Amino acid sequence: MPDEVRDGAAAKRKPVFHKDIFACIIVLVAIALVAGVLLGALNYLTYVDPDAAIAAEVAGIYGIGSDKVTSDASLAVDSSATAGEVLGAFRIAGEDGGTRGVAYYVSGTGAYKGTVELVVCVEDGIVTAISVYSHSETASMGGKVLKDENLAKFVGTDLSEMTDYGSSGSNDAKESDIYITSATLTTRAVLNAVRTAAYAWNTCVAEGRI
Amino acid sequence: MSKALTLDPKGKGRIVANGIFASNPVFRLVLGMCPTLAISTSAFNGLGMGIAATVVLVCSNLLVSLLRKVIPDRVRIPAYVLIIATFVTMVEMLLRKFVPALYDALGIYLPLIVVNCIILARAEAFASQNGVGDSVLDGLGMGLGFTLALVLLGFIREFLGAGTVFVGELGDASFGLVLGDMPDYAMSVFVLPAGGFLTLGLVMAAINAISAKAEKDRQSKCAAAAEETFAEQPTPATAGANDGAEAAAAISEGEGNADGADKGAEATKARDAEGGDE
Repeated sequence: MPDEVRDGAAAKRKPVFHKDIFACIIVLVAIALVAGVLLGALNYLTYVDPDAAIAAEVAGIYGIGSDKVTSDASLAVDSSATAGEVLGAFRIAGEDGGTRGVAYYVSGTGAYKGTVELVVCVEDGIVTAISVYSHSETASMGGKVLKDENLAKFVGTDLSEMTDYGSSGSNDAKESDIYITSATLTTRAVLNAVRTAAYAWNTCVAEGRI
Repeated sequence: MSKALTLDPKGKGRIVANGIFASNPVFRLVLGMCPTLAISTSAFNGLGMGIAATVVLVCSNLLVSLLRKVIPDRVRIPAYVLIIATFVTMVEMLLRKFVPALYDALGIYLPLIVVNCIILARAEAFASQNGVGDSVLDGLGMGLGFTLALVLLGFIREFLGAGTVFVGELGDASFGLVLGDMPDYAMSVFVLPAGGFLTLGLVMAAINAISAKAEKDRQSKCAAAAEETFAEQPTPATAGANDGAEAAAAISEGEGNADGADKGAEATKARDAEGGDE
């Protein structure tokens, strides 16, 4: 392009290494430093350890001390075959010191907004408790599916009998006991999370980890 | 818009009221539509988002105003974003610790407050050009206006779409009102995005109609007051002419005497003299 055709914007633009460049850098670095220190301090004061929070929740469900629920990496499984993810596994100690059960912290994909995260407690393959750890569903729609009394319908389900670990469909959701009209996606996400927990349990049993 | 950005800093209360009513960020300036439509599914969510945005607005306006003479003009926007992002992250940490249910409900829209155009616009248009006190008041007014709009939209959408009023959870406490069998007959569309657009459009139309009517009434009152003022305070020339006319009428009616003639002559003189002054 010939020089005379240029629009002149380059000529108007100030050079990058302007004389006040150092002032700009110092001000930005100073703000960033102060912000970093403040955020670090606040993070230290408000940090919530997810493992500790889940262990406390499971201990609360069973009415036992938090020290009886411990995170156990040996129970973690590769959940790529499922429509969810095993985010954590906790061994629940019995009174004799042996393993009473396992609590899986699982997520189910396909919810209306992101994923649904559940804590599923299992003893001898039977679901003994299930609760929501985190979700972003609309309270008046998907939130109804995630209410404790609705999810409690899973209690007593035998996970060892479950063999389908794939993503649940709309028909699966509508045939489910927990289904509530206009909350199909949330129901599917919950089913996916429970199927992921079943996969984790059955894999651990098959491999002799429990 | 330009009217909203050039405030009269004399009245402190007016700065706050301006953000709530005349320049309401949602209904009048139509800013921050993304969080408005996404979060206003319930009044409690709206209140939470509104308070979070208000805290960030007040704090960022305060700091931007304090540092307005220190921050070089060339890097003002990155500096504002840095300041705003710090406050948003702080609010996020506090919510995660103390109100996890609300933290989950607000989801991605909480960190997105960083790029909320209301906050950036107030930092750029007001806080960077005004004193600390006024900037804090402006942030407070705009934040309250945003909160009010979100709660109003959330209340309508929750009532029509879920049949409940202000349902929410704070810590272990649950509150709110479930209206009998209303949840069974609720119109779920109002909780969905389509209902959000519909509700926002209707409320905005209603508010525009009310403000237009108020403006019209105000103008007609002003016009009437101006007319009255002119009518009550006639110009001296007119007064002189009236006197002259009355005097002339008295003479023509045959009641002519020296007094009447003198009065008419005086009035005519006065009118001429004052008329000359004009």
